[in-house]
Amino acid sequence: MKKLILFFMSFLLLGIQQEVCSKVEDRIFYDAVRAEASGDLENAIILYEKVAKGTHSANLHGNLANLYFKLEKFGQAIINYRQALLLDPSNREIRENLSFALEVANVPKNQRVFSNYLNSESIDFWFIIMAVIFWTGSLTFSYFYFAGCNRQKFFIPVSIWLLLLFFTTWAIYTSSGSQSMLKREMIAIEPKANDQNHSKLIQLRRFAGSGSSANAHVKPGESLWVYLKNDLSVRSHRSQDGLEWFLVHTSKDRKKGWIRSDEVKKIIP
Amino acid sequence: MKLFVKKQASSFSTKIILLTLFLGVQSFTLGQSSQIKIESSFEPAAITLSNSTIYKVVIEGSQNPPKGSIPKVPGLNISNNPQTFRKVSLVNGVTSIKLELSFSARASRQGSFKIPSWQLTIDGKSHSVPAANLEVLAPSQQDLLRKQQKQKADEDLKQAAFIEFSMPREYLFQGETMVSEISLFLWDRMPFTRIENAPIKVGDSFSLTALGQPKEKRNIIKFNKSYSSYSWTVGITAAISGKHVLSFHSNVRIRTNNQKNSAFNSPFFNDPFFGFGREESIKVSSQVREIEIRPLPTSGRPPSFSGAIGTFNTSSSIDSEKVSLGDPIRLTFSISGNGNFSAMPAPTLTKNTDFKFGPPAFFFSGNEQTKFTGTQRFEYIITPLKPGLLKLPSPNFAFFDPIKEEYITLSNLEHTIRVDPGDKWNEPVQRFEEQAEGVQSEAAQSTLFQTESEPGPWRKDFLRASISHSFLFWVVQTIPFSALCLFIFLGFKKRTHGIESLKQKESRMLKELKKCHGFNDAKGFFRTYRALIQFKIGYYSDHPNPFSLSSEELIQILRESNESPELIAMINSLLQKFDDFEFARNEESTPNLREEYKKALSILKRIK
Repeated sequence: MKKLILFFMSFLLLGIQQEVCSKVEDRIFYDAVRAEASGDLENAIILYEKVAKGTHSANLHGNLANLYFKLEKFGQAIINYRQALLLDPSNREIRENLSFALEVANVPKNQRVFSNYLNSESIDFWFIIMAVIFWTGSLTFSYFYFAGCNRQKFFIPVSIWLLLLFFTTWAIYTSSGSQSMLKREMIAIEPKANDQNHSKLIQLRRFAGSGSSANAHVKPGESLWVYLKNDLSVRSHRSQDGLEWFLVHTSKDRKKGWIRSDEVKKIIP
Repeated sequence: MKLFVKKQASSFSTKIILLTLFLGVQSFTLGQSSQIKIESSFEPAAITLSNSTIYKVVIEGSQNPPKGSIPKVPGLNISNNPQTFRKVSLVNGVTSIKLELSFSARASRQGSFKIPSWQLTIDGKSHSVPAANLEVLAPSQQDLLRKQQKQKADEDLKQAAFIEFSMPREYLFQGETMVSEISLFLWDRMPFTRIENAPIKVGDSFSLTALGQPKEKRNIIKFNKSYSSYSWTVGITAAISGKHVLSFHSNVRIRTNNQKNSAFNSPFFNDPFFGFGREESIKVSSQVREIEIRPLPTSGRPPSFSGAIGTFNTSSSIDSEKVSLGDPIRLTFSISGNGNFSAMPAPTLTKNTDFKFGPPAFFFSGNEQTKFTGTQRFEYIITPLKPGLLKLPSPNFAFFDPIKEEYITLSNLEHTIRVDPGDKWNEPVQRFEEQAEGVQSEAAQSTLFQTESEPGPWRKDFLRASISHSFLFWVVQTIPFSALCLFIFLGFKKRTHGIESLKQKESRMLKELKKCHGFNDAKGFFRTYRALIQFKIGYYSDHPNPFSLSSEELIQILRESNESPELIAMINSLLQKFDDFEFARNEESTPNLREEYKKALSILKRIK
């Protein structure tokens, strides 16, 4: 009995804590909106980022992205738009904002972002479809089989059923692949290395070190995917100056190289 | 002769003139100087209760207007407008002048009445009017008949044309508006020509909305008569508390016969439609109803109550939740329901320093005739005075519910608006090449990047946990899985049940075979044995009806299933033997059933 009471008490406390936390987040969010309304964009960003450290919402990242865009920090703007879209994939306003930001930042649009049916979010949908098809077919065919129907009549329906199962399995596999790609995806933020030409491009170096020459350049806001090792861990290297480097490539492996960890940001931290 | 006649005529006219002058002078002098005598009496002095009489005062010796007042006698009504009659006469050379004053008098009860002596002032001198007696008798039979006829005529008139008005309740609250329908009923057989005026209210404690065009209805049956009705729907508002009477009357014109003493007094000329009948106006009245007007309770009256009485719902809306500083916002406050919309002032807004409030505009939609049912909208133009997230004050509205008899204060949600500080004016930079490119993007940008003022639902992670990791998902999968298991179980059970029945059948036939062998029944033995052969071969070849297989068909099946020729030959010889025994009827050659039984068992074991 005591254990039961303790369980319920802890459950209650957890609920209260969550409620209090969400109120705190709301308050900071409103403070940020007020700061933005009064023209204090820097303070608004600080407040939004403070909330985003612990919890997320589509409107939070959308507002943050808008502020970064106004300050012409396109890399930060694009990653926040992407994060907002993950939280609310049907938000048309954020989608249009992202499209416009990509256009302004002169970054090629990644078609995966705009794919609706086989992206990382649709994996659950395909799971449910497959379960429905599988069980419907199994139950129907088992019923007719034991009812003594002619087995030759089963050929075409069973073939269609198997095809549908194959298709849904493929969709799940593709969506799962999109999800794993998303987990590997990073957005180039802004160059941190000292560049005498004051270029806004970010270098992808041949070796994981500041002294290495650039193999290729990417623009802030461009998507990069980190290579994985055989054990599926990220291919990274820590240089002597303490900097962490990631081996990344762009879409379809057109560009690849080492990039500083502070010049990129993962979409899913 | 002519001259003589002329002279006579002129002397006669001269005499007349002289006489008239003499009489005039005489009457003047007598009027001024002769003794005044006053008489008073009732004519007739005895009447029945239903008749009236004349109270006559005769003043001799003066024709100057007298001054005075008749004393009041209880139960006797004397009119204030007397008929005056002046008379001059010459009796025995003495000129007499009189002034007669005739007052109409009616008694309200029977009995004796006496007007006591009273004073009249003529030419500044007071004169006494003698007392007069009146005897009022009980009404005669004729009077009663006349009275009954009059009452009947009044009742007939009331049934021929009358006014009804409806009141949902017998009481009202002061200031409350109530919808009423005033109906004028006119009997179809009465020759009404037109309604002179719409019903007029009698009762100063109520105010009435304007009467529009009436709704006309025909063939309404009341008191077993057919009527036409004209109805006006009005809003009645109670003005003064207390018990007050309310009634309505109207005038209608009706065609009637000519009077009996008319020159055209004939059936043809008297026909009201085709003849020379005349039109007459008659007054149509409603019943007088006493209605209680209650004062509004003072206890519990909210400060925001401004006279609204009824049953209402409120809602408010704003036309924009995001504005720039200085841009006006339209706050629409709607009051819907039933009540005194015509007497309802605009609710007040709580003043604060964040906004500037404009005067409200009134819009009413609903029944314009009664202004009782509908929606009253008040539009306030509000201008924010500072940027930020601001809360618009909600209009304060309270009303008195006459059904519940209590005050109700309705509170609406406050509206929060975001006021942007607005753009600062910058001097335009002359960058022509950029302007051309930037026009489109600026237009697009104006609709993009709008800040959301609400955070929306919070989440801890960007990606939701996959449904495949959900416990509930797998729990749900157990339902179809259980159904599938049940199907498979039932299917196998059904199939096993079929196999078991076959085995039972085979066992039963083997028992039968053994029994025939025991009783040495060759016929039964061979028949059972053949059935066993048919059953086993037919079952293993999936034949739908194994017992219909002939010997040739059985051998054919065995050959097709590649059985050994020895077995086929043994079965064939056995079947042949049975056929011979069955159909050749060779009863003398009795087979050795002991040997046949052993052989049969060995053959049956080999059939698989």
